[in-house]
Amino acid sequence: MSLLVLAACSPHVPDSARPQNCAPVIFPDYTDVTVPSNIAPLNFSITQNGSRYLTVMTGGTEKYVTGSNKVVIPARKWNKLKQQGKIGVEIYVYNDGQWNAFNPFTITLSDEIDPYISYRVIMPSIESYERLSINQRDVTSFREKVIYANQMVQDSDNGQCINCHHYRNYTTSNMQFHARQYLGGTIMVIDNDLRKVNLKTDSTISAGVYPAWHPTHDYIAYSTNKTHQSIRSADHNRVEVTDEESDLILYDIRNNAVSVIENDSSQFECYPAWSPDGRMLYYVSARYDAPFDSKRKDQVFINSSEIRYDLYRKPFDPDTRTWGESEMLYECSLDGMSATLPRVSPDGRWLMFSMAPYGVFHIWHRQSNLWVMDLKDGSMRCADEINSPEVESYHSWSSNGKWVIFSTRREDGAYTRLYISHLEADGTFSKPFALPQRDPDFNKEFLYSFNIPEFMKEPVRISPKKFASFISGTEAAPARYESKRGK
Amino acid sequence: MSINKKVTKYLPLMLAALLWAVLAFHETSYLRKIEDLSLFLFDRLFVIETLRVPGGLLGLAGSFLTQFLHLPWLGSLIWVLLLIASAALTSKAFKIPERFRFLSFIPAILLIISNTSLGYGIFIMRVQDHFFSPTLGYLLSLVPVIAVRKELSCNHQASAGFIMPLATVVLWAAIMYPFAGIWALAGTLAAGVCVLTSSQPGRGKRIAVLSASAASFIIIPILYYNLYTSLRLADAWTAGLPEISDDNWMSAVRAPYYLAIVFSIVIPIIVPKLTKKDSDLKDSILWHAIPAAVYVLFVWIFWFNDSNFRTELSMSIAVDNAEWQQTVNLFTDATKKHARSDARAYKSRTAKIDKAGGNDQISDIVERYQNRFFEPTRTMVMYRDLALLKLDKALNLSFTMKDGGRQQKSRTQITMAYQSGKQFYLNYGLENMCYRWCMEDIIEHGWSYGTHKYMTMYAVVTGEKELALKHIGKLSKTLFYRKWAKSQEKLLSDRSLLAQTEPYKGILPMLCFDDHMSNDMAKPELFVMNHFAKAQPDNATAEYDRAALLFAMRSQDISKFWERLYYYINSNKINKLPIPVQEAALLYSSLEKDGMELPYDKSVTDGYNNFNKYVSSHPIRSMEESMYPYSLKFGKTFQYYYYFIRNLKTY
Repeated sequence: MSLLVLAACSPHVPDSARPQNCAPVIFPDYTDVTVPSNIAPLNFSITQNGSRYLTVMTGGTEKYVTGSNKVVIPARKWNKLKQQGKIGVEIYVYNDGQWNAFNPFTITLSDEIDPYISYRVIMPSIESYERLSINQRDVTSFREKVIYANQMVQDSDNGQCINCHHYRNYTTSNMQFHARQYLGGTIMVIDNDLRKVNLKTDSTISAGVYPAWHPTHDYIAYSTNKTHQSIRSADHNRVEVTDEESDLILYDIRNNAVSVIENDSSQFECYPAWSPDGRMLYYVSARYDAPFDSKRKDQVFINSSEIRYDLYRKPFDPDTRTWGESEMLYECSLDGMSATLPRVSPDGRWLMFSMAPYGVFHIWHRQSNLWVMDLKDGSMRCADEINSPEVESYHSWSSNGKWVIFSTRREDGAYTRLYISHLEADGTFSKPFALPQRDPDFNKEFLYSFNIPEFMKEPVRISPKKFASFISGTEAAPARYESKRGK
Repeated sequence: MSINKKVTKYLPLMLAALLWAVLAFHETSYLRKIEDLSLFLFDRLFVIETLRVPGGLLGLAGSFLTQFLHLPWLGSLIWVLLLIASAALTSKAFKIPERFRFLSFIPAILLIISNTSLGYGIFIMRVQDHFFSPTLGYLLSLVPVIAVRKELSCNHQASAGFIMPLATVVLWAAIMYPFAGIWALAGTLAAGVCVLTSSQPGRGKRIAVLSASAASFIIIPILYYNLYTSLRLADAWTAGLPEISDDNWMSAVRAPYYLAIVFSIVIPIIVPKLTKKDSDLKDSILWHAIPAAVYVLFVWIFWFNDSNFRTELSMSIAVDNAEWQQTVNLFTDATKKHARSDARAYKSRTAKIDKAGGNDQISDIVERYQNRFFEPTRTMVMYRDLALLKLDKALNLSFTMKDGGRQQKSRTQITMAYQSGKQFYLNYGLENMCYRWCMEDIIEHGWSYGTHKYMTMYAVVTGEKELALKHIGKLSKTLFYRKWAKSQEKLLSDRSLLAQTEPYKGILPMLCFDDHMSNDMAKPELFVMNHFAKAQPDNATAEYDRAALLFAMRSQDISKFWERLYYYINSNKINKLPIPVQEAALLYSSLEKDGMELPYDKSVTDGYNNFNKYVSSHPIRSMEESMYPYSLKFGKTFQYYYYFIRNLKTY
């Protein structure tokens, strides 16, 4: 009897439904996306107006039917649906006295993705940084943990900023992030041992900023930056961050020594990234000739819309630690564009970077898009299939090179969200999809941004408490400066 | 009923009614502002986020109740009832003898002081539930005390009379710490002390219960600390207490709570001694009236009583509601209210100066009397000017009103940026600065109804529909702002309706300036002034030019005045210049030889000549001394503003 009642109450496909000849409006938009075979359930909300809803998901012989406008798929069911490599989704919405059938869509399962990502959770703030954390998320489920949060150390009078978490070859036994101001230093995990280093030397502009861990040797390339932030009085790009000075340095982990890679005083060199074999360093650089005087800071802001970064690369022999001559890869300033954040795919073929009409901090530039260069033949294109009218900025390749994760403000123009896309065989990308969340409306509701998404093959195993007590109880060891550029 | 019993019964109720009346009808704006700075959402994510810190449940309950301060009579009534409950439960929990019942009001008095002494501190509180959650926390801390009392009185078996209180003190702290933070620990400790001072079980067992509660107090926060990533170990014992983003102010803010906790730990030790002495004391009205008077006196002393602060809050609420005339009225009412006291202060000061021996003594007297004269804060002047501009009366009236730069009566000067930055910036069309100060405020002090409202308005102005909908969505989950949120949603798709709707109809004409890089260095007044003094926008509107001329006059920069006047005359197509503008032009013409020649009203030239004659017949010994008598004669002229309102400190 009770089974009969349950059967009567459970949702079922309507006998007749008016075809709508359009795709359903769902959030996040998971219509016709390609996703990793090990990804967490793609929960979504149907935002179409209606009084009743019906979703039917089919994977081979497996079916999942729900009558809610919030489609929250149980993990076990999701795993069964995924097994055939394709999931068909039909959505019906009851409105104006009848059922409406929307065009069915397909979710295609593809290559696996690294099981973990990490990102910084931050409000889209201007100056304050009261609540910051670096979190790790298991992308095969919804589990999220804090790696380290500044609230574990700072107090009302002594704020601490944390940024630039980075891993060597996607593993967490060698990783780093920066703690700034209070109890500051670069926090490194070297073969699972903690180390706190002060990378600022008398001969360099600043401590290390944007890191790039050498894939085979114990080096980390950093940019060193003197940056400033200003607010635009009447522009949709609210904030401008500019370099006043910027160079590149190499940190020798074993010898705790810093040496210069590039320090041309008329160039702002920034955003280093290694090729997978570690024999080439990619970076961006902008020409800027203003004199070093008291007006320089203001002048940089006045000129900010004309400062454009070109793409460069520089050969490196890791065994001898010697550098070759820099080569300009793309002089985008000639096209009135500015490139940042070059990242090479693990197979060494593709170079992805973000590009906007000017500047170095594209997270505040709505025109910023992701571009991709084929390093085999030097051809280049704007990856329109993954870009949006809003910001696309920081991006990372998965360790198998099949996926990219990138930060974008496409949902509302203010809060950075993480989207993932599959690299197809022809070098194009599949339709990007939002990192799935347990609550499909999470991205709409959550009032923090996620930035610097980085893939990891494994979780960070050092506890937040261990990081906190280490940061609180350890003085940063000063790095030594080596005047020679290389051996 | 004896007189003593009547007094015990009715006096507290009368005082509670008085407290409610003062809060509900005298501190309306204060309560409304506390509510505006708080947030409660009927939303799963909000609940989860709030519960992520120890004491989160109290925070949630406190935020829930704070929303009722939107109706100050209701919110204050709830709070006063909770205070009455705290006194009644204190009496019951600690078995305070009837003759010493007045002691049970001490925690309530401390909680009253904590809420009414904050003043400008409300703008930098880190948690939004501070008005209610300590009261709820204190009430919660009495639960284990009542529980162990009951267990001790019910359990006649020695073992049960030991094990039950022991389990209560440990489990209470262990279970309740995540929900109530320090108040759970305080309850455990108070319960432990209660057991120690009771007659059973045996002494050793009583000490064991106290030791267990003390150990729980120390160990449980350490154990829980490992589960949280939102606090430092040192803060684990203060979790659940209100926090202020100024370390120097923190101990003063928290002192009443610490004292309430100390009270609940000490009172079980004192009560048995009181019981013994009880018989020696006489039954009299004074016995209860004197403590009541002392309590009233204490509350009076600590109550933050600053009429400028109250006016600022009222004006702030009026600006939020785009009630421009009301904003101006509040300013003029404040000025009028002080007219008599100013006159009295002047009379008294003159008498003292007449008797004074020399210039040094006169300077001392003038300085001592300076604070007795009414002087508005810069925030009040900024609110007033904003409202006058929106009413298109600024150039006629702004310089006829009181001006000045009275410092906040505050332990720490709260920057105008936190207090009212988003209001000024949005209404002057500096949208990105509005965004900036919403964000800075949120990061430092958390989300509030106010920041959600201003983020919504910011996004409505900039046309960022999805962002606006995000904040509208949040406000739709509130009790008192859902209607407002709905009204904003309509504006998103109708730009012409927007142009007719307050406050947007006054904001849109301000959006005519060219983009430039800027940083306000947390000084909104200076920033707004400099913004309007910058190069003339190509598409400047009449409204923009009015504001630009007003700020040029405020800046007392002569060349800027002439420049702005030129654009103002061109865009505003007026037949006759406002009187203060004529006064400024006449004054500046006489100060500079190459000033602009304008047709001046006779009253303006007469006034100017009168001022000069008066100066020669009434020499100015010091500006501070002459300010008041000059203001009586010339306080409504630009000359007065130019000579007497100088070197003001903005913040």
